[in-house]
Amino acid sequence: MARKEDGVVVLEAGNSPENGPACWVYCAGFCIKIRDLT
Amino acid sequence: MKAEQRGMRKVSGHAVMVPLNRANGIIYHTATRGLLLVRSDLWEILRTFSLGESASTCKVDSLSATKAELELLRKNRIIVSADEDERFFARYILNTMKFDTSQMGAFISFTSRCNFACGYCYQDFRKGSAPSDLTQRRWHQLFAFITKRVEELGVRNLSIALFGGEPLLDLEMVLRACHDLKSLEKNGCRSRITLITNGSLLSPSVWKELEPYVEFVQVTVDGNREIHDRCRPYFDGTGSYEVILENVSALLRQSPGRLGLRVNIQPETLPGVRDLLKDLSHLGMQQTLAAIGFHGVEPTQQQICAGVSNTRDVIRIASEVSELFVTAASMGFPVAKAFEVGPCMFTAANSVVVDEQLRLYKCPALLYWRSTGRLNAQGRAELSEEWYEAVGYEPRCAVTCKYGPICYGGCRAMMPGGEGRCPKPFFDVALESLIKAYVIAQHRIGLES
Repeated sequence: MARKEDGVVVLEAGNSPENGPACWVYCAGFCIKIRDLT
Repeated sequence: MKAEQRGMRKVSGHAVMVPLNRANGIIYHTATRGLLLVRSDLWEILRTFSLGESASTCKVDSLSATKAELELLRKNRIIVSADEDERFFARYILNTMKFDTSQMGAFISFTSRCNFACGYCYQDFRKGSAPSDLTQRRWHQLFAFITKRVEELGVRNLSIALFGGEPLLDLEMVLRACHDLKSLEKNGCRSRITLITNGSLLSPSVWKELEPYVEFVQVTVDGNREIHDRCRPYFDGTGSYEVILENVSALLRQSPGRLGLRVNIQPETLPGVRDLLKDLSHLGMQQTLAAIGFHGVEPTQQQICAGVSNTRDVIRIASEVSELFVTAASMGFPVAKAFEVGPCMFTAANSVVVDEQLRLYKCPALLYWRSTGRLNAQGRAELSEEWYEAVGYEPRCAVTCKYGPICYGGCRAMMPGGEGRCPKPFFDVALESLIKAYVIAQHRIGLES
């Protein structure tokens, strides 16, 4: 959810109780993570 | 009176300040993983307050920010109350991710056989043992295990990596497994299947069969033709560059955005990697690749057993690796968030690596070496003490270090018996560039304002 307020733009909303669960990651050594599963 | 009521704030200890261009800076929060673009004058003030061993506190009024800006900074936890102990939030996030059983990850090895003879392959214990394949009977056991987990734990996102050896040496079994895994979607579980292959057998006709099931393919190319053929030859010593590039190009023409390239970096291969980027650019792959990523070569299993760590090598090439990400992004290639490396499979409660004999592991790096359980004939997991240790262990730095929430104490598979290979020296050198590259690639924001 990108939000812009004057000089602050949220490019990617973080993981928080308000924003929902975090993405799943594999170890970067083995699999490139492309996008969140959520 | 509490600090918040007095208007006293501090910049979060998890905020990573990244200069971008004259107009804006980036702030990345390692615990929330949020990413903000901030006007440069405000970014400078926030950076000033974030410097030092323990960030200094400030009055909200002194930030020269509008009310709306402050609200966004607060909601995204870039500024927090001056007396907040952020370890609690970090632990909350980490444990939520680690014990989230609605997500399940599984690396499945279909065969221990491989048609390549890469000099740096970490699986040197595989090479010393008799070849084995995932039989139909064992697949049924494994699928029964996955199905039970999905049903009993309410898994909503199943993330599967088809692995080996070279998994396409047993295409028939791979297709059968894909078909079965997709059938779980009728239970409301999304199956996302990734194929990790050397690319040599991924011809257009093979991709046509896999395409309905496999969402994403990862292929490794280590540099231009000369470098790649030296690093990743077939068993008979002949080069693999040409056939891989042909297969990759054909797949991307048919299914753009479904394949990413991994590039393994060694100091002597760096010039060849830059040439590779030019070659890929001439082929127009900026528009079709899903991502490109650069990683230092990991030590082999025998080297780890012998106590050889490549930590120094990793740090030595950290700036080159991160600069390659920026170069690739600036050339228009998509790059992934290579800096979010944990909690990985090793620590995540509901993730598993399985070999063809149905031995269980906590990380693909441990395949054929240190199993931590096995599946029985009923498809139930019998787990050893090491399994619970892997999941239950919580390094202190995971909640005290700025990088803890994205590395979770570092790689423990590569450093058995230790606390984990700390990536802090790598992040100190590389993280800013990795974040910058990601923003340039993903959000199309350039270095020029």
